Amino acid sequence: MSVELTEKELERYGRQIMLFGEESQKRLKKARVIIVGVGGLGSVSSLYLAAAGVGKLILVDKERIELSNLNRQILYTTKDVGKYKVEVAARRLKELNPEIEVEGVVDEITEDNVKDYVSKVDLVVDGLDNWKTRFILNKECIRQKKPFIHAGIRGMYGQLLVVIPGKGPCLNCIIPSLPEEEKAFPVLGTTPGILGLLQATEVIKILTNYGTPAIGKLIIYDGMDLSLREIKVNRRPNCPVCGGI
Amino acid sequence: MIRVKIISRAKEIELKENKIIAEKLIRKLGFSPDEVVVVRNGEVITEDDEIYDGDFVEIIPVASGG
Repeated sequence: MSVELTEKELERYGRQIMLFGEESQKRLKKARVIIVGVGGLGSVSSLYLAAAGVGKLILVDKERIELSNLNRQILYTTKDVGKYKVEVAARRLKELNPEIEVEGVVDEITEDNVKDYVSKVDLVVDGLDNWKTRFILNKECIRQKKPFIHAGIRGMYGQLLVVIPGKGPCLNCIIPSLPEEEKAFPVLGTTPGILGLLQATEVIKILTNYGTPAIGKLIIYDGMDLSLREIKVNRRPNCPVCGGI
Repeated sequence: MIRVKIISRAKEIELKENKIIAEKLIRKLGFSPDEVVVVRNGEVITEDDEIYDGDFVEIIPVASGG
């Protein structure tokens, strides 16, 4: 299906069209992306993906906004406390960019529904705060051969992994067994901001074919000494999730 | 001598061993194999891999928050 850009869209996206051209902007317009978790990471990645003109964003999160979220979950304001995150997020993103479609779903990803959610989109963004759901999504993305953009944060520290099935390691290659879950973790608000921005950047690169996605690299951000390190990571030949593809 | 840098603790130690299995090293440092990534001379290794005299190893915790 071919899409055209309206005059308003050409103006709105003019500065990035100067960078990667109209065809890339049309690819963004055609794209469907799911952001699972609109907390610290998802607040930021969704804002920039909406601003960039990704045609359809699906937001999935079952939580309501709490006062203690507001040091980092920058989509929300004090008056939003108590409301469902996806409802406020969808409204904010539509206000930012009415040219795109945004669907907010109060739900959580499980083994039972993951197939349906992943089948609706071209790419999956990890905004989660637990390993169990990340592993479910990683596995389904490998099965459906869809990119999965992982990030995780704690304190002033975070990691990013771009999973392109068959082309580089998956989350399971790097973390072979489910780590222990941590409920309330310390975090400086800027940390998910930085990692969420890196995720959005990788999403836009993948969808537009502009630049080189960070495949086979574990990116480690450490705000304590302000370092951004790139560690070469390989697929595990015996990975139970992606070893067969 | 094996040089080990622990990213989250911002410290570097030296081990006198000539050879050690990654899992043994992880446990010796007080971690569990499923909470850290082990990088040997710039590349991720598995918990079953061996680390030798002269290697530089980095222990990188994985963060779960979002």
